[in-house]
Amino acid sequence: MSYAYLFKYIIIGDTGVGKSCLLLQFTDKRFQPVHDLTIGVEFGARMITIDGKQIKLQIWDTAGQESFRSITRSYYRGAAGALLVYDITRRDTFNHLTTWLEDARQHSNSNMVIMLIGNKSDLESRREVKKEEGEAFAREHGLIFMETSAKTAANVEEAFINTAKEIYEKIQEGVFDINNEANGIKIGPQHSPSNPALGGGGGAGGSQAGGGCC
Amino acid sequence: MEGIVFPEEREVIRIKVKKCEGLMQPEYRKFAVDPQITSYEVLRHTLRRAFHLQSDFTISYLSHDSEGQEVWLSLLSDWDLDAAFISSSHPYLRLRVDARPFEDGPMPNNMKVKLKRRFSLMPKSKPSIVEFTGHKALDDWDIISSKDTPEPVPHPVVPNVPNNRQKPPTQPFRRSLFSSVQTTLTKMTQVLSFNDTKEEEDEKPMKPALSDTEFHSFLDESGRLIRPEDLRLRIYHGGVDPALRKVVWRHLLNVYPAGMGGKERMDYMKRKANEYLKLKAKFLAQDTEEAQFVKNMVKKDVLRTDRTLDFFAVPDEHPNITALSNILTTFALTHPDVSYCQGMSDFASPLLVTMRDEAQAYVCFCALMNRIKPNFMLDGEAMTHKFQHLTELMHCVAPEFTEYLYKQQAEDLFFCYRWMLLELKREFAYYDALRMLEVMWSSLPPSPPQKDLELIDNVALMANLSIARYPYNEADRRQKGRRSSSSSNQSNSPKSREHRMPNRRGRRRASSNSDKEDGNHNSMVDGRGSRMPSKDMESKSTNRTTQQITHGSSSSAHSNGKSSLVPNGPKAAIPNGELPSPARSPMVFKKQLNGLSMSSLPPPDKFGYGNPFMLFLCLTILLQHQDIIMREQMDYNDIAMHFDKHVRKHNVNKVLNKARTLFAEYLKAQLQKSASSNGSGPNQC
Repeated sequence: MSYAYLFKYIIIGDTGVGKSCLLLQFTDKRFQPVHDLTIGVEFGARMITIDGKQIKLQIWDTAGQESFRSITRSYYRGAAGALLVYDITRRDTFNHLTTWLEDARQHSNSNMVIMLIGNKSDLESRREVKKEEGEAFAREHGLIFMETSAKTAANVEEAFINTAKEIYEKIQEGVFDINNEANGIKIGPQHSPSNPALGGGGGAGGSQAGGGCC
Repeated sequence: MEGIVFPEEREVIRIKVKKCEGLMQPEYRKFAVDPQITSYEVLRHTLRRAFHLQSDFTISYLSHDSEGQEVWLSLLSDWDLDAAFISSSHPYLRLRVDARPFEDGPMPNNMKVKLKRRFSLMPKSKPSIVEFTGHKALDDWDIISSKDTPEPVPHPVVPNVPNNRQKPPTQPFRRSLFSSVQTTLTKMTQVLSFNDTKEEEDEKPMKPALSDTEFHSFLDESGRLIRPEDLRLRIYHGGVDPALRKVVWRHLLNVYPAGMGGKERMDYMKRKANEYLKLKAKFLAQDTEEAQFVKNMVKKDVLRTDRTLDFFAVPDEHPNITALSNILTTFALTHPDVSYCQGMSDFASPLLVTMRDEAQAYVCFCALMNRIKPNFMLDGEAMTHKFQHLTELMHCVAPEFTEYLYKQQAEDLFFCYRWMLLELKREFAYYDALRMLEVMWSSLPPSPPQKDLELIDNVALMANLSIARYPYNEADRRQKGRRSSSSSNQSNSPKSREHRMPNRRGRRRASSNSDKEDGNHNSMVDGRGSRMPSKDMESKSTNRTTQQITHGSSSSAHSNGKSSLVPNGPKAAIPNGELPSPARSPMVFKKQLNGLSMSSLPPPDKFGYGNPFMLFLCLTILLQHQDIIMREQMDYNDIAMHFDKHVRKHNVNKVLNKARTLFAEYLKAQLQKSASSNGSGPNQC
């Protein structure tokens, strides 16, 4: 299917916070309580519409454990958006946010949009992190914030789509260099001819932008 | 271990089969099987014979959905067959065989048969069955040569081979192939008689699995294993009868020191099991922060490991799950240099399911970890090498496909990460994976422990090489370090610090090599887009290739080919960032690889970081999907998603058959290489 833009996302956060379940809920609209332990990186994709434009989201769901960092780090580069996830029922996953954020900022491009997600909002009775704490953290670090439940699907669509909206806005404002694929944004095949900048520039990157994809 | 519960085991299951083929009159057959020894492939074979089937066919079985409606479910694997036996075999199991007159004939529309044949796009090569020669002079690494064996034949019981197998292997697993090969070159060239003209059916069942009776032909009167290499050779071609796995796997996994008799082995296992129980009692009672961290981590992961398998499809507190958890936790706490890592549960699960005993599974796990521990080291060196080697192999066998992957910027092959980390355990249905694992283990030379297998890493414990995959925050870590009494000496060892501080390493690299900068300045790097491996992987890979191709020797630790394979992880580890980085652009790197031939690949004791056959399994899967990937012009993400969809769905027989053929070609090329370099001085690697 053709698209106007393709955005690459990465989902990060401690192990067991529900990263894979968020992805599955978003791409397949289902919840799988027993999900295989993610090894390395797994992948998903879905088309959304913003402003009447088709946008393809390519999502890399990373393993949370430190032993995979050497590989997952390499995925930061070239991501336009990141969902940084913690589990509202586990305080430690919230405490580690700073480290995740540092890691993300160090290895990604500076314009990457980061959405902070407090997942498992359906487990209110086991809550250990208040919503206000999440909001405060997000404010302090300039992130967008949302509480979600991969189980009930609450806010899952919104989390992915709001991130895309923010990226889209940055594109319109000219903040993102859309001709540089390392920014995690690709212009859809049908748009390339109308964009002379893409056709000419970019060397290896440019010549591959139009090729083959979807 | 008491408490582990298995589904009801029945001795006989009666089967009624209906065969449908196009418009022809259906045919019926009835027979009975022993569910303990009937695998999916045996069933296929039986059905093929029963109906004299020439073409491909699909099998489905009659089941009932939740509303009691009859429904035909496809039967594609051992997994499905087990499900059929368990759920749908009262009073008999009803099967339906749909023969397809043509390869792409229409699907029966009342069945939801997965289109697995759609992917049978392997190039029509002409594989021939490969076989170990079992040549005794190659006692470390048996060479697999090719023989033309059109029909699966029972393994001949060879009465010869009086040999010197008892000699304690000093460097069992690691000795260079060259050293042993060169001495026997002439003989080997005679033995190798390739005959590539016979076409083999893709899906032909392997040789029948090793049976109980046959296994006894490998034991002498006191139960001593007399021909370990031949046993491996036999299993390499046919696998092990599932009922025999419990016993045979312990040999394959190198649990026993060489030369033990049957009684000795039983005593040994008892002793080891007791040793485990003591360790477990001691270490699980620990209440340190680290112990708590490991316990939580393991707990979270065992609840996500193979839970659809009957054995683990039990309540969270079930003894089966606890057993898996105990194994992993005890291992982590007794092996602080590697501790616990995600993925280990995938290795431990088949061992527990097969051993049906926590303590024995633990012993096997320790033996297995001796080999695969490097996969889990934080330095990532083993995995880096595996990626690099797979890339080289792809260049050599499938240049066109590799070219395509370059165009899609997918040449890093990172979508194979799980395959290589877990040695493809998750890529096949569970019981198919067991078959694949035993075949892969058999491709490795025996490597029995010198004395007793160690169940605890005392060296690491003494050195307090605690790296537990702790919170990611270094400050956090340092705090924890301060709190724990003995942590002060940790910082004495630069190596252990290297392990403990991956983040800081990353930062150093990142700060000296700003992303934004190379994004703009270096169009080559830029062109590769986002999926650049970490700097670390990149520089090492390139470096490695350079050595490989130029055969240049350097002082880098892996060029001597020794240290990195020694099981003692921490000593072998190379601190990152210390390797000279030639900083080659990917394009140059690629060019160098293009001329690769099988003979220029690393030798088998180094290839795939000591597990070359695993690379050929990966290669086979890639090749099997090459056509569809190229035809549908998949990009990086599509390819990765495509393979993610095939988790647990690959066809084990096809993959093994093809992988064996390719592996034999590789070994042949390696032999020829050593033949031509024989006499021309010391080996080049």
